[in-house]
Amino acid sequence: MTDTLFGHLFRALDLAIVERLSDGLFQLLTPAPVWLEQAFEAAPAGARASVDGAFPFLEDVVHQARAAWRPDGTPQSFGPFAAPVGDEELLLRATALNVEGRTLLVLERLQGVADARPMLQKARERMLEGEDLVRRVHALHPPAVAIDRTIASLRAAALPADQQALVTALYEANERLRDALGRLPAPPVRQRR
Amino acid sequence: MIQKKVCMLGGFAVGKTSLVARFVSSIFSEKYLSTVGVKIDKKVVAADGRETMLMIWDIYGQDDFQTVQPSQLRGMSGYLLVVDGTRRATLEVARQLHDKAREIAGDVPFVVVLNKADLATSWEIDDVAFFKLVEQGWRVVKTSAKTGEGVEHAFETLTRAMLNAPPHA
Repeated sequence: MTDTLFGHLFRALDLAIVERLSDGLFQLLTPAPVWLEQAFEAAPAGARASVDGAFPFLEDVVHQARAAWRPDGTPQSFGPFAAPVGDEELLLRATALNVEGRTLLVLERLQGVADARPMLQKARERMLEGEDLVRRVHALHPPAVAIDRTIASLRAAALPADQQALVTALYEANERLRDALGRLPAPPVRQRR
Repeated sequence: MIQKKVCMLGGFAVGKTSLVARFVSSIFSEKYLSTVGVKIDKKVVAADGRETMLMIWDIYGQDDFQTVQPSQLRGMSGYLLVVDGTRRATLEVARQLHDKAREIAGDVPFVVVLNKADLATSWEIDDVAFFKLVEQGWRVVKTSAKTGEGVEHAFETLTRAMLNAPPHA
């Protein structure tokens, strides 16, 4: 009854518990989620396998988990790691802990973090667009300076009244443009040479 | 066979994942896909007459949303510091990551990868900045994950540097 309940619970949570054995293999202590089945082939609870090949990150986790696996160690989590399983790329987290002298790893699939990916993608695309906009604005500065100079020399020139009025209108329009440009984001910081 | 952990470090969208895809699988996609988490790939590289298995850790780009964790850098033998040649600001992110890598992994070999060489006309990192990096004694390689230019060279340069590095304390 309890085994069945926990079996369902582990499946519902999409996690598995494996024990690191002294020969370097892992023993599955729970029913395997679908994404772990291939690593354990038939995937019955109790199956032993070297899952490092299927999940290369485990090699590093095993190395770093030594402190957590000591009798006085505290649980330590690693990840998330992106692991290709079939056509999918899953995000997995491994938590190492010592329970009654047994060196355990809890492997769980992180659905929540995976769901955040589209949001992160969108945010970064917006940042790239923002960077591009700043670059475009920056590119406007040299021609704007050239226009300033031209208008200044026109204003200093002794022009007929009707042309002076035109230059004044041009000057005022340019001032508004300069004001708008000034309020846009600063250009990227240039390296000192 | 000797095995080495190599980390891909850099800001977001500089092309870390594309460089790994080009190097490991000889593929390239124009579409930018944010990396979430760490992806590990393996590839055997022949350098200096020896074969070395590279465990390549493609770590998500550092920005306001995600920060590289010390545990991801521990145990690495070297790293590629990836910069997007068309975005000057990514050089500063690379410098910050370089400092962090030094703090955690010590004085391990690294190669600065100036990526997106195929977009040379849009580059914000000019030759002066390039030679300044070289003058610092940094190994710098220009690459294009799109065309494949310099990609093998960057990984082989790092592999050689790792193989010839003194044992790290």
